[in-house]
Amino acid sequence: MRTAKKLLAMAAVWMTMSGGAYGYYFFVHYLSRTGPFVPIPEKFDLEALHSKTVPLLISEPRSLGLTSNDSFQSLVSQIRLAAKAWNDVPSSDLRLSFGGFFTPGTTYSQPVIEVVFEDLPPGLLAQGGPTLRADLATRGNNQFVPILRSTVRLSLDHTQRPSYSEGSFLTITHEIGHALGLQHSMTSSVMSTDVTRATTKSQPLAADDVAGISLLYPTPGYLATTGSIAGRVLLGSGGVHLASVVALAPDGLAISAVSNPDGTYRIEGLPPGSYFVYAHPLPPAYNGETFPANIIPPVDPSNNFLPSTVSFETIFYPGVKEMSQAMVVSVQAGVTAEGIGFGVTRRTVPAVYAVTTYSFPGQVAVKPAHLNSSGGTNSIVAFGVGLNSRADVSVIGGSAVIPQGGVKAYSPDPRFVQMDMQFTPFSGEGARHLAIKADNDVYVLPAGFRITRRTPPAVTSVVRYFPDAAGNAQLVVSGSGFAPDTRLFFDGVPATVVAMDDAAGTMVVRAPLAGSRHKAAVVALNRDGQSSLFLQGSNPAFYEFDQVEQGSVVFSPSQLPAGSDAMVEILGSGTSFRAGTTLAMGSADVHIRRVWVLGPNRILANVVVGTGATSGVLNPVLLNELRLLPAPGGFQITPANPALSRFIGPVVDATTGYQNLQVGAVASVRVTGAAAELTASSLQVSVNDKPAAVVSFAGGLLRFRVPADLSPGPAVLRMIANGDSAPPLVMSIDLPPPVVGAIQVSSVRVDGKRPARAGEVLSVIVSRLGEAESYDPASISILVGEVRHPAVSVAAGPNGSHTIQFVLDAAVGAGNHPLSVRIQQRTSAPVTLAVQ
Amino acid sequence: MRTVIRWAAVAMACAALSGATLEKLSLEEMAQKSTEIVLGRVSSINYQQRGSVIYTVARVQVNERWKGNQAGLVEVWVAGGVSGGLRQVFPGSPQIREGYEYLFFLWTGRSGIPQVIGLSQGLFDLKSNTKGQPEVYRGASTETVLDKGGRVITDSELRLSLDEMRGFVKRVLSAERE
Repeated sequence: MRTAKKLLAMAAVWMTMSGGAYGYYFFVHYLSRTGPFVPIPEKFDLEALHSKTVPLLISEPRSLGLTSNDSFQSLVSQIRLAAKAWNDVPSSDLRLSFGGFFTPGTTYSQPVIEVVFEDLPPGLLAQGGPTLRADLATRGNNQFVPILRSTVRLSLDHTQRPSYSEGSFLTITHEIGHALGLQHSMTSSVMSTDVTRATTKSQPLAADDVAGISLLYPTPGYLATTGSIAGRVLLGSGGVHLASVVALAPDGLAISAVSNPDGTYRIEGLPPGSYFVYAHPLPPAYNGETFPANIIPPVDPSNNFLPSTVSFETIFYPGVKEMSQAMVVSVQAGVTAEGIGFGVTRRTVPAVYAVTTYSFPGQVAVKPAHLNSSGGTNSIVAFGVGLNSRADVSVIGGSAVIPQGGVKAYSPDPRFVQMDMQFTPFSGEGARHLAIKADNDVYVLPAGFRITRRTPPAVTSVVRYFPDAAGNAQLVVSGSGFAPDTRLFFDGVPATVVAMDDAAGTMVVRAPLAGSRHKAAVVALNRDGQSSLFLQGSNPAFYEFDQVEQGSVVFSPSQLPAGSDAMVEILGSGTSFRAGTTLAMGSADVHIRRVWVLGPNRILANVVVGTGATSGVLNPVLLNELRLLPAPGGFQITPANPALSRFIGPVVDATTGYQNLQVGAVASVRVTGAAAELTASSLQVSVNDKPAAVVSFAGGLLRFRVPADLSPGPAVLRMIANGDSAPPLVMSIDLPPPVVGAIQVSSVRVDGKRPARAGEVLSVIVSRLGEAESYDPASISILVGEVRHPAVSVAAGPNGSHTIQFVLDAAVGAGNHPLSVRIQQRTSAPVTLAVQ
Repeated sequence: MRTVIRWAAVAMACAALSGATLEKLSLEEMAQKSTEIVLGRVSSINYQQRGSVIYTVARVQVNERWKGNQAGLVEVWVAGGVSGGLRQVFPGSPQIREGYEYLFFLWTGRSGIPQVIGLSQGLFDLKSNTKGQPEVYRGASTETVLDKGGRVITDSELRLSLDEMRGFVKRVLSAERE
């Protein structure tokens, strides 16, 4: 009996943990105005999306206010880069894809994010969030309000904020975050308002952003690899609603949650480690805004708001105002540190809030402040409501010290405060938090400034170089402050670095493809968060591309009925398709499952037309990096034909479920329409015109053996059912997966005796990586535990082996972790990596 | 010289590195950039959809007009609202209530939709002070930044008597005409 009770209690705890999206703060609904309060978030329904992917459609404005070298194509590339920041969060299951251009007001049967350009009044730059919702949905233990449509409104006027600017990019990233279901955060993340936002284009998302999107759309296992802190914020005996509670690691990480109406809170998504925890009130509402911090409060079933209750003095756990007396809370993976409570004292308005910091690496003020601990000026300048030179300011964690008298009025304008910093030999790179005491209150500014060890990069010239062996145009980029981790962007498209001499300040890059005479801003980004815009502000280097033929394409077939899942071949004239070419149909109802580039003028794609898709003509577009190739009216959706025998992809390995298939394996794919009623003997199946033996056909599931004599690459699956041909589908014949051999650091083998350390460059020796002559590191990732690492370099070695280098992320904790290498859809068997 | 360089630098940063969804406008800028400035009472609230955005449309009976044409009735469009059973809420949109009196700094662009300038910056409550005299009020900003000249824009609530505000706007508009 006792065991049964315990099990019931555990089940209740489990249901509570998995039933709602805790942590962070979303657009929240409650089932009643009285407790217990289980927050129900608004989010996209992954099960309603093709491949868990929400399309992002962009409206084409008739006229756009732009600076002289700016263009709509440049802006589109930056919007896509901002979407990529969210798309690339490995612990989030939600993917974003560019769906093309659309006409505002068009309705779709599939969920969508729309980016529209509007005549916004002066002073309003952008706005975003869910704009259409479905009724409450339940998936397993999870309840949520499905987002059917989110809208990002951008201004038609970009004359003050060019597309390449940090401000424009981060604003778009911020608004897309709202569109995905995230509200404002007080942790200086990209979802913070501009005043305290401390992310940059180089590192657009902070830990809180990653936790927020990952808690809303968690990958399997995410919650098991992170821990939680839970408790209650009380004023007397009453719960404080909408108190922000922040877990702060001294090394720069800050992850937060907002309390429920009864004061309960739960911060989730915390990497294992030790954290200071503090509770603080939301900053007051700006006039006209209805709510503090511009956070929309939760609503009850009648859509009535449950607003915040009181403001109070900021307090650290365990109920102290002094950082020196604060205790750290230890967090373990898969475990909740319970009972981290706060008893707060009412206060009308925080003594200090909304603090912005600046530094001056050159003639441009950089926000947030970045200080080079290796030299230069070690002062930041700050401004905030209630902040003055009498404030007692300290750096949390001790990696920098503000000496006696180091907080002073900034002489050019005493309303600003100058803060002098002294660094220690152990001051590492990264964000550092500030604690500001004033008027018997304390204000914490997470990531108040960033410590770097280098000057920012600068780009001074971009000139044409010799083409590579394959005839691709190459450019020589000159500048300063380049480092091995420097990435170079042409507008929103990264260039592949072919060679670099960081000492000489030059690099050779493969030029991205671009439209005729397109002018692209060339910006260098270093992984320490710095950008060439820190020095060059509104005067970045520009490169004008050559004149090129516009090109044209033809789709075959040029129409598909609603409910189709079929191959479309695209033949181009004057095109130069490359790996990575994107096909977008200009409709949320059409999903591009996968694209295969077979040559500069030929593409195969698997195209899914939703069952509820509206018939009509579409305006597809192909994107080659910066080159947009529109095909107006190039494709059409026709009415559904339920009797049509057809595949429902993807074709997968019947054993592993992977879409990379090997010859001889048994593959499976679903079949619908008239063929679904037939027997296996009525079906003729072929792959690349080679007969494929049907293994079984039952319940609409076709299993067949992949013919043995196929080469790696795309192969066309065809089926004839009772004499009728089904629309073909492309399947991917792949090489066997790569095999990981040794793991080394500086030629020393990594093992239990010499474990790897965070920040080290590790070399992974791999065989069977593939048959290409060279590999783009961006196509390869290394998974260590749950943490995905981008490859930094790939070099060919002896006997067909390759050496892949990556930098071990600090998020990987100590211990033994499975390491696997992934290239496209091929993933190696895991080996063990020992981490110190 | 150093001071000059640094202030110039701060001003550049606001243009190049700021990521605000809202760009702060001074009172002077609001007066200059508005196409209409009116004092009026909200007589009714309706909703309209344009594209995928639902707008709250407040009809305002104009009591005083400081800028713009002579119409006695204006519409104020704010993104977010309810239409066809759908409710849209845009973060940051101001809430305008029927029966209340406000001072509006409005802007109408090519779309022809009159909107509050700066989302909520151009919306002032009209209240009576302790002496019973009318004053316009806007709460403290959570998003204070520097203006284009590198100066600090107000960091506390803005409360002016109606006469002071009227005089200020009049001076700005007169200077503009000169």
